[in-house]
Amino acid sequence: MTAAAKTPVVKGMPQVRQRHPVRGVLAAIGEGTIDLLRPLIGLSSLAVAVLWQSCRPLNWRRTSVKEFMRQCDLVGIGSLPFVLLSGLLVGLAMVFQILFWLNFLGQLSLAGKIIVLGLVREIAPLLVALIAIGRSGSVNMVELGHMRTSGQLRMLEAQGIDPFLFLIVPRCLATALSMFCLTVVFILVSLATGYMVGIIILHSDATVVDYINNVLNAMGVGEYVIIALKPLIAGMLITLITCITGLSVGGSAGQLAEALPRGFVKSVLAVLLVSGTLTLLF
Amino acid sequence: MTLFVDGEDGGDYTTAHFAIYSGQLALVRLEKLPQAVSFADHFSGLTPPFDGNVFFFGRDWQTAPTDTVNAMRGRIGRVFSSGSWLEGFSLLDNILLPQLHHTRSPIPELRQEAAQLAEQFSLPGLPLGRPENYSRADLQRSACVRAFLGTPALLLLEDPTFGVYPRIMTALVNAIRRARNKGAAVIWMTLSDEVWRDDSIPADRFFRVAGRKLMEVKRPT
Repeated sequence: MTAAAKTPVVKGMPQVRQRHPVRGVLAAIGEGTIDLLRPLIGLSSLAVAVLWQSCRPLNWRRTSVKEFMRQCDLVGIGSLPFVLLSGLLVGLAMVFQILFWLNFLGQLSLAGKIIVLGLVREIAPLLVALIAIGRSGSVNMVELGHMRTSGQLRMLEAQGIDPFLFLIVPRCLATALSMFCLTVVFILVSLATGYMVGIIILHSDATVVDYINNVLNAMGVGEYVIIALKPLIAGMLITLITCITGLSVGGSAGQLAEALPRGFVKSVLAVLLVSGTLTLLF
Repeated sequence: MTLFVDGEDGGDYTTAHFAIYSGQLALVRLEKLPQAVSFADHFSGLTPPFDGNVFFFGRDWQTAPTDTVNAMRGRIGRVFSSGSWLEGFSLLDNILLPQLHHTRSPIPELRQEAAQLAEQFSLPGLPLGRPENYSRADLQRSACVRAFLGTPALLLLEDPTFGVYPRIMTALVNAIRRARNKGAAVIWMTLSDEVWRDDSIPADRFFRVAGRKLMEVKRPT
């Protein structure tokens, strides 16, 4: 037996091993990938949990239903004036511009296709999502942050009310449903405004039926899928991100001030990611 | 069991070994408010004991499934010492919340029972406003209304007389008597020496923390 072999090793102490350089590089890549994917995986698991829990009838107690209705009122009804105004302005500006230039080029027959491609597929879901982030996302962050730091979440748990089922699941579903409805309203208002502008300013002789037919003919299955999926998925993600951000806030007002823009940026990025992915898929 | 009980100057381990049965009232004398919160959290399974087990209806809080744990907590009426109101809801919604969540009792019945309790606790009708619009005393009375609403199996009262002693005593003692008649066990935690020595409290058992131990003591004189 050599002298080295006789060297006593302290029991229970981990031995520090020199890491091979290649293993070190691989480990660094692995850690970076895991760090990158962790929030995405966490968010996806939460979304699955929300969907799973919302399928259990036992979870839809009177309190959760009431919270769902309250959120529908806050996000859906509360955002309606903003969505109507935005739809009006977008109808005035965008649809008018499209009609004006196509009329100028003598390509008015393309109006339906371009309006559908731009307004229905991209702008409407995106603008509604931005309104929802501002209106309900910020409320979620502030409200849940305050509830956590002031002990209100603990009080709910002490009463046997699961905060996830009472606060997060109804909010996710209410925001998703409200955003879908608001997107439809936005599209209808902007299309109607565009038509009115075309009649009044461009003296277009197209009838309402022609206009509607033009738009409907340009709509394929993909457009209908996108109108449904974009707001539903974005609504759920916005709520999850803002709720998680709110719940991760510490006690001080400074931490909340830091968390608000972070939650806003994350929500916008998630909406853009969903929008881009669904546009590519459909 | 060994509990980790918070204090204003940090936490400490406290040994407790006791059982409370249906219809009993235990008065517990504590030194600091965080102790009451800690004990109540341990008794309702929110905080696991450092050592040992806490049972409710014969079930261990730590091994029961989540749904069962929530249902078990639904049978506990608790007067919280702090952070007890959801600020986005009216005080009445806060009061009705546990019953709406855990029972199928019709809302008009719940409102009627809440109105009766509110009257007994000297509230000027059902509190329909937001919690921030009420005085500390009215919030304390509303907390009692919420705790006694329905048919709780266990009442955890964290210093329920704080700021309203002795005005609330008659209503509180009467409400406790009715709850005990329906089979509720009551753990009344107090920091007040006046309450501890109050003869009008029909307590069966008396406890106080002494030397890191929750000990049963004789009726204080």
